[in-house]
Amino acid sequence: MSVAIRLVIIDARSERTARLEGALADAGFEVLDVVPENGPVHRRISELQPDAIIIDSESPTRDTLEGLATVSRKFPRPIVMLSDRGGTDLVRNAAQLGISAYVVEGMSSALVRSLIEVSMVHFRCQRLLQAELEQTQSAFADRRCIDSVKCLLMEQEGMSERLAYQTLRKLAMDRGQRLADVARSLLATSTSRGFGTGIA
Amino acid sequence: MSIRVLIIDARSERSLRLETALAESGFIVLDVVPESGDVHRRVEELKPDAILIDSESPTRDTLEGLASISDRFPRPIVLLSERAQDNELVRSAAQIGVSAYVIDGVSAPMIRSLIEVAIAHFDTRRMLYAELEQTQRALHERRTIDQAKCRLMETQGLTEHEAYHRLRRGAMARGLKLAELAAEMIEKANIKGIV
Repeated sequence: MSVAIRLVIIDARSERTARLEGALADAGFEVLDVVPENGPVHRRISELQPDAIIIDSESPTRDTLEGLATVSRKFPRPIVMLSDRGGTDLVRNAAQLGISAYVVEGMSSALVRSLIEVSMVHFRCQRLLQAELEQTQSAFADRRCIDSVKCLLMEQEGMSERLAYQTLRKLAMDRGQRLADVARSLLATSTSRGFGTGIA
Repeated sequence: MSIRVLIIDARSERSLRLETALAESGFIVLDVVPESGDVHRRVEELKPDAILIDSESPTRDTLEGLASISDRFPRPIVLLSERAQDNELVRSAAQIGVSAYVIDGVSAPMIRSLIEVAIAHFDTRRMLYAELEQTQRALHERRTIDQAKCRLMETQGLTEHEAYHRLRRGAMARGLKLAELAAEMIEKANIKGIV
């Protein structure tokens, strides 16, 4: 059996949370802590580094949700909200903040387990996509810088594309920097007259 | 606006419980199709906002069927079952975009929240995919344009600015995208290079 998934519960009322804790333990989760809604939520989450965060709330306020969205920006984690009243706006607001909001009355451990599993897998897929997107965006930005410098070298130093590229590469190797970083620093110091650094 | 849902019935006995719950929470149930029926066709015809599968205990086959639907017609898909599933199944379901839940009863607000969350997840993913694809395309186009631009600079002795504008004018004159013209130029130059 794999390692138990570690959870922190943020609690807005106690009698139901006790049942939830039981259901989660039955389903094989490890509950690290139960923190009251107005307690040191941020601190506990950063200390405990749970795999997922569960909010158990009768009807969480917009403030609570936004507070959690802040937490999740600092410590990206799947966040599952369980409430027993179904305000549709609430669900939608939560969804916009990246929180999976479920309306559950019963607390069967199979149900709770499936809610958490689905949210965690979704979270992981989303993180992967986001990472890929960020990587592509930065490759794009790098490409822009490298190309600008290459073209400047071609224009101002009369280099061929090949030579311009090789010059940049050599500079990067000599400085122990990434090609794009060298290009960035050259762009920052370049003037309309040329680089003035004697790199050619 | 009401959310339009298609139900796939994979239960041994016909059950109205989901239909009732969905109607109560303001969804429109477009149709209830048996798992063995022509699910693909109905999905394509009806274009539901979400698909719900009602099953006692889903099998690999059920999942594979759903995967092929979501390939051809991407939609938020919610799989409901009564019996606890192995985690492996929940996970592989999630990977093909199916949210698999084990429910112990059917309450309208709960079903509603399951569907709403599935739609939210689906939309988030689709947005990210679209943005990723767009960025990848932009990166690829940028590479092509730069290559063509550098070639013009080298062979015609143009400045970057001049090379860019020549490309732009050429593309406009022929009603092409800049990247299309650039790709064509590079291909021609490569052929010449070989010969």
